[in-house]
Amino acid sequence: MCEAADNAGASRAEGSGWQIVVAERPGPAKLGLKREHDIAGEVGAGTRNATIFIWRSQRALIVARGQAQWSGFEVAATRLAREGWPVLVRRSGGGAFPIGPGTVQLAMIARYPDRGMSMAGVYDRLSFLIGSALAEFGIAARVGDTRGAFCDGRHDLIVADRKIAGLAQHWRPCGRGERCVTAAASVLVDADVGELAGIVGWFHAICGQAIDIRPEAMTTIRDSFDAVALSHRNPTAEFLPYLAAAAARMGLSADSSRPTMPAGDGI
Amino acid sequence: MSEIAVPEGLWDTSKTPEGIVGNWFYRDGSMVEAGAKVAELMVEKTVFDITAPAAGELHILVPKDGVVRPGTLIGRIDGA
Repeated sequence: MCEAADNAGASRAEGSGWQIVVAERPGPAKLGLKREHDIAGEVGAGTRNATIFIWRSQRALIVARGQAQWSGFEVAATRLAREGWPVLVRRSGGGAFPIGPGTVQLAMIARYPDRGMSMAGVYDRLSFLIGSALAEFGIAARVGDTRGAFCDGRHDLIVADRKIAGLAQHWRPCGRGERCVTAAASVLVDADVGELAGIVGWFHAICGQAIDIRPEAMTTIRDSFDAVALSHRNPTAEFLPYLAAAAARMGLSADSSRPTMPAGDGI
Repeated sequence: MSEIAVPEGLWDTSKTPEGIVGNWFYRDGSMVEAGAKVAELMVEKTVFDITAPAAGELHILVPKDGVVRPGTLIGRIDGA
C-alpha cells in the first residue's frame, strides 16, 4: 500500500479517492502540525485529494486556542519548553494533549458540501478507523469520555474505561459552498501516561487552572494489547501501517455518505 | 447590513444542543474584509471558523463564551 519514502521520510499511497501520507520518523511537533495545516490548505484549495496524514513527533504539548489565552500561558510555555516540552497551538478544540515518541497522530482532511457531512459523522469515521486498527491487536475500544483524562471528550476512544485516543475537529469554509474539515486524533501507543499526566497537570497549575488529571484515566496500546500482533520492540512505529491499512480498508470516499457506525456505540 | 449567523445544520442539535463563541478575532467596531475569519465556535472539541459575509464594520452581538445554536445571530456587518 505504501510507496517509497519521500524526502521528509514519509510514504504515501492512494485508495478510494483518499491519499494516505505516513511520516514515519518522529520530527519536531512544529513541523508535523505545519504539514497538517499545509495539507489542509491544499485540500481546501482543491489542489489535493482528501488525505489521511499519519505522523509521529518528538515531545510537545499541543493546546487549543482557548488555553493559549489563559493568563500564565506564556510563563507556562516558557517553562515547559525549557524542560523539553514545547507548547504549540492547534486549530481544533479540546484541552491540552501531550504528544511524543510514544504517541501517533492522525489527521483525516477532506472537503464536504455545506450540510453534506455532520460533526458526529466525521467523529464516527475517525473513531471507526482508529478502532479498526486497535482491533487488529485484540483491543476492543469504544467511544466515550473519561473523567480525569487530559483533553477529555465524549467522542474519544476508551479501553476498559481509560482513554487511549483523543479526537477533535476543525471546520472552515473553503468556498464553492464547501467546508474543509480536519479531524485529528492522537493515540497513546507506548507512552508513560504518568509522565504525560504530570506535564499536563504542571501546565494547568502554572496557568492557575484547577483541572483534575489522573494517570489512571489513560492507557496505552502497550498496556492494553493482546501480545500477538506487535514485536514489542517499537510498538509506536509498528502501529503506523496498521492505521494506514485500516484507512485503506474503510474505503473512505470524499462523498457525503454517512458512516455505518453511530456515535457512542462500541467498536 | 449583513448578518453573521451560525449556519443552520452546522451540527446536530439533537446530540449537542449548544456551542459557545470561542473567540472573536476582531474588536467590536473593527473594519473587516469579506471572507475574513472573524470568529470561531466551539462545539464538542470541534472548532468551526466563521467568516465575514461582506466587508464593513463589525458589530458583535454574542460575546466570547456566549452560548449559541445553529441559526443564532452572533454579529452583523454594516457595509463599507
